[in-house]
Amino acid sequence: MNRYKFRNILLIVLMSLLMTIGQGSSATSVSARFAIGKSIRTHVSDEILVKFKPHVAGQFKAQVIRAYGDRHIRELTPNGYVQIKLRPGTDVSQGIRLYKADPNIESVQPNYIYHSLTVPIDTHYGQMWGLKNSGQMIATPSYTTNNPGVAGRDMDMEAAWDHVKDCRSIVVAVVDTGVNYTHQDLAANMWDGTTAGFPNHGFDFADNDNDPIPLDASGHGTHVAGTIGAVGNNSLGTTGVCWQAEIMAVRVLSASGGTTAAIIQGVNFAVTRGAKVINMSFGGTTYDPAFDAEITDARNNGVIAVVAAGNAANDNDSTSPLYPCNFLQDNLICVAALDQAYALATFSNFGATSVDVGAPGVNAISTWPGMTITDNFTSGWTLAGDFAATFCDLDGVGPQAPLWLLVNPTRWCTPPFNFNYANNANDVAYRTFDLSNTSHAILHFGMFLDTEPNIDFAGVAYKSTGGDPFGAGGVITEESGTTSDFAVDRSADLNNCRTATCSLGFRLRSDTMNTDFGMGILNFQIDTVQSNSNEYQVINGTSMASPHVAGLAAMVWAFNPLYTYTQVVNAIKNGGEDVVALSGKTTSGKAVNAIGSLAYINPPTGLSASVQ
Amino acid sequence: MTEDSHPPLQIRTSDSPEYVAGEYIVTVQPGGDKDTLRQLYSAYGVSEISDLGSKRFLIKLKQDPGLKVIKQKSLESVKVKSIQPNFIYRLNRS
Repeated sequence: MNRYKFRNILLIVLMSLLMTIGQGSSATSVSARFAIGKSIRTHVSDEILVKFKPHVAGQFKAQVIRAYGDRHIRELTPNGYVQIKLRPGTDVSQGIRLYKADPNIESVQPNYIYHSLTVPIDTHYGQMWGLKNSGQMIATPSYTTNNPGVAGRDMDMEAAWDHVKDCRSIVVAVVDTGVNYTHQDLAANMWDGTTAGFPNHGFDFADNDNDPIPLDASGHGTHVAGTIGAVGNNSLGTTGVCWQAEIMAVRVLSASGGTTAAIIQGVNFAVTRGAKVINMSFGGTTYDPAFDAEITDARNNGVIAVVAAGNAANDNDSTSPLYPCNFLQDNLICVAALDQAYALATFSNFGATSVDVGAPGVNAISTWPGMTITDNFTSGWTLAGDFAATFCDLDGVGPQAPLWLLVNPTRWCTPPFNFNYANNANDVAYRTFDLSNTSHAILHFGMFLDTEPNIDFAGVAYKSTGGDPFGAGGVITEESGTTSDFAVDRSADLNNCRTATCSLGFRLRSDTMNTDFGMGILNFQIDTVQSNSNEYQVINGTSMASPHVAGLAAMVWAFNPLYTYTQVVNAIKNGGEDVVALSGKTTSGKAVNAIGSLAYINPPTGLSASVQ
Repeated sequence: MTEDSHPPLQIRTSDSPEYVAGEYIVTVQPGGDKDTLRQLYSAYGVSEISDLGSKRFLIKLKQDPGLKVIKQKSLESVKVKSIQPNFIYRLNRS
């Protein structure tokens, strides 16, 4: 072996030793010297527990211990473990090696430190399986597989909350559909942008104003915000990953989506106004250079982007990439959705090179901007003419379960499906709703339509004072022709009908000749925004998985304020829990784990060593 | 009325285009500004130009020539660095 080769081998051995010590015994002075972040003490740094072999007498035990220069503290149980204080200068790993080699010793271990688990008192906490999975059944599931799931398949939040709950030093931007910042479980945790000229906790780039309230009553952004930072331990609703947070609301999408133009302005706003973590629970299918450049700009400013993998059950590494997930910057964490047993959610995208980690993404309960009213037309409706509510098995539609529709003619859903509406019809169906306690309200429904084009019409109307909305109300829309055997989504702004007596109705009117199959209305729903909302909903999506990770990023960073974005990303990716369902489907193969990320010690950088 | 009965009925959401028709994001070189773009694309009826920051502008055209044609048109000005559609992103709620 030449001298050069020997020197290199020594260097490798030394580096390996340093890395091993640094990662394996986080409470020791050695690891503290090389770790940049805080370490979590897992065991007493100068004590070990030793069990002597049965034949070793009591007095001889003390002699053995004294021979090593250590001190016998106490025998914990008869013929059981002895608590030993190591002599100064000996760390736990050295002590364990020493006693392990002694022929009188049966076993030796660290004196581990146990913490009380921090359990919040929020009323819905028991349903938050992603934070604490006790094998609980989710009461109103929107995803039925693995409900209940497997106890322990969670982010280990209670152990992490022993160390950090307050993430207010890290601003998290929710770049989404807006946030109801008046929600009782969010108001105290919103970013204060008043001095910067943003008194409403953010900005709205979808409508270009300074109020990011979800005008279209989309609950998506409010739900995401609650997962990150709903106020913890306030005896109300849910708790966020962070009990205390600074959530910046940046509205760039409506319920139907958002554009590159709004998104790049939103990301730029977040970065320039001090956000360190940005959550983006949306996706687009085409490579977008302008958005890509904005993520790079975020990286250059040390900002982490946490994004959703997508909900098409696609492999993002294949011919179906999804952006921003598939951008390549190292400040980006792309998140797949796991179910309550830590199986990959059936809808979740994945990607061995593009998707990084998994996180809870089904049956996620979180904050919602206001009450949601659904109606199946079976009660409270005034039905005139040939309108009827009917329970209909839509013929030829595979997985669609039978459902209630409001139809005209009455026999719209009666085989052989060849009944037409009447000539000279002016039929109205309506019902009154109480929308008085709302600040925004949007009507959604699906509609099958088949009328004589431009002659016979299906209409939708409202009236704020109740009664027939087509009498003296506001007609929202009138349509004619056909939707070609498909139900199409329709929505309407009800802001002029936010009263206790808002009547909403449908009409079919026809002339004296020629009729068609008529109309069928389904999935009737009114979404609202309410000041001081106390509403919550259970929904699914990689959209819901992503904010679990964004909250964790804020937590890790708040715990280790000197970390770079790279170190936070490393702690999240490497501090997770190995999950079979993610192996080969993500870059890490891990589900995020809060205590694991807090305990993860980033490898030292910039170290050099030389051997003379 | 010509049909004998309904064909199978289905529920679907609205069509989902990938970008906004007639809208493009233009990145300019130093010296490029709104006037540059208004002149360059005047043949397509510029209805609005918004400054997005970082030398990027959103332009809205009354007559959309399509991406291929407008990319070709953009090559006529050295002050235009790149042009792309204004893509549409959707929520990842299942």
